[in-house]
Amino acid sequence: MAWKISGDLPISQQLYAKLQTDILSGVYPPGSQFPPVRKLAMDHSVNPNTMQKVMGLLESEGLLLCSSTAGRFVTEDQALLLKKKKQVQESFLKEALAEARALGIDKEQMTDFVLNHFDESEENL
Amino acid sequence: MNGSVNECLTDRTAENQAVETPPADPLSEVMIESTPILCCKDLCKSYKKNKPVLKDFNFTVEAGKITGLLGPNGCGKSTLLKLVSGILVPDGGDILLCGQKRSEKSNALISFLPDSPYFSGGQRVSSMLSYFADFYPDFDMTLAKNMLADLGIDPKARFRTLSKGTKEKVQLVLVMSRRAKLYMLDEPLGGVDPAARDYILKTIIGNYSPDSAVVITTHLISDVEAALDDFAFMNYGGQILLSGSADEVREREGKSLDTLFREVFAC
Repeated sequence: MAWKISGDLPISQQLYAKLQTDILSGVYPPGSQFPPVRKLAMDHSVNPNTMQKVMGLLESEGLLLCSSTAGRFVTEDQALLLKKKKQVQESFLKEALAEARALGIDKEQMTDFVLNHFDESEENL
Repeated sequence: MNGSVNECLTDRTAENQAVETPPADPLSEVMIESTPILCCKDLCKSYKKNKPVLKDFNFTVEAGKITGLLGPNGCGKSTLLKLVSGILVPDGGDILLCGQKRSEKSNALISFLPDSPYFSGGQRVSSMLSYFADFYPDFDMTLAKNMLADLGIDPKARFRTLSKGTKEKVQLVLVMSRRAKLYMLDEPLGGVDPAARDYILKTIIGNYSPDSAVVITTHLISDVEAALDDFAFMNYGGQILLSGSADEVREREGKSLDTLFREVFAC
């Protein structure tokens, strides 16, 4: 898995962000079984207790549902998924905007760039 | 207007209630066991008179934890592990394993990877495996063979003919193929290439069990820090400078263990 722990942020925070994105982007589709903690910990090369803690966070948020016998499942609550997705998207856009501002990119340049390149880059993907 | 205020209020109380009900602690099921796997009390050891390596050293390892024992060269990490494994005898203090005072019987609980190999060079890898299987009833032969295959090591090769890193891998396979209570790994990543390092870390993580514990000494902190529960910074004279939960310290200090180590032990 192409994911590396970076910088000085707590590992649980980085993992949480990564798994939340995976759920929201449909890597783990709604209603699907979530992999067991041990496997996730191995895949990400992180401590199983840290992974367990992150699962707890995702559960308390409602993104994951825990059944005592069958493990964890991704929620099928579309409204919740959509709401969370919006939150994550907006915070990403805010950060991107702040960085663009720091580089001296003005509003016009930004809109022009989005209008000209948005579709094109989508095709390239 | 009244209506909306009321709505706000009810909304808020609903939220408060949701916050107040404590979320089920996922760790609580894992941490039932209370006797620590390893407990060192006032441990003393010196090789030369008046030059203690460990002095009144206290150290505890809980079940279900992966602990990193980190410190500069010659601070006594290997000495500590050798004392616990019974290779060295302490000058004073107690070593408790699963609540019992250390004895020959404790050797069955400990799987120890020493810092230098102890096999004769003429031995074949396969005979080393059967040697371990004879010695330790908890040795899992299938697991060991699978791990050797994963790492691309020929079981028919003689130990002497292997490179430094491959020798280390073979020994790690032996040590990790046991079902022990306490794994003590002295520099398991030192001479090993980065790809194998990942494999070894995954092995340690995959081997995780809530009723056993792992102690790792290493200088490659950035490689292991994500795999650790707890860490301890050890200084010369066997003092613990700083210890605790690895991720909490990242959160509190806003820096990685690796960065912190470089600061604490700056030369």
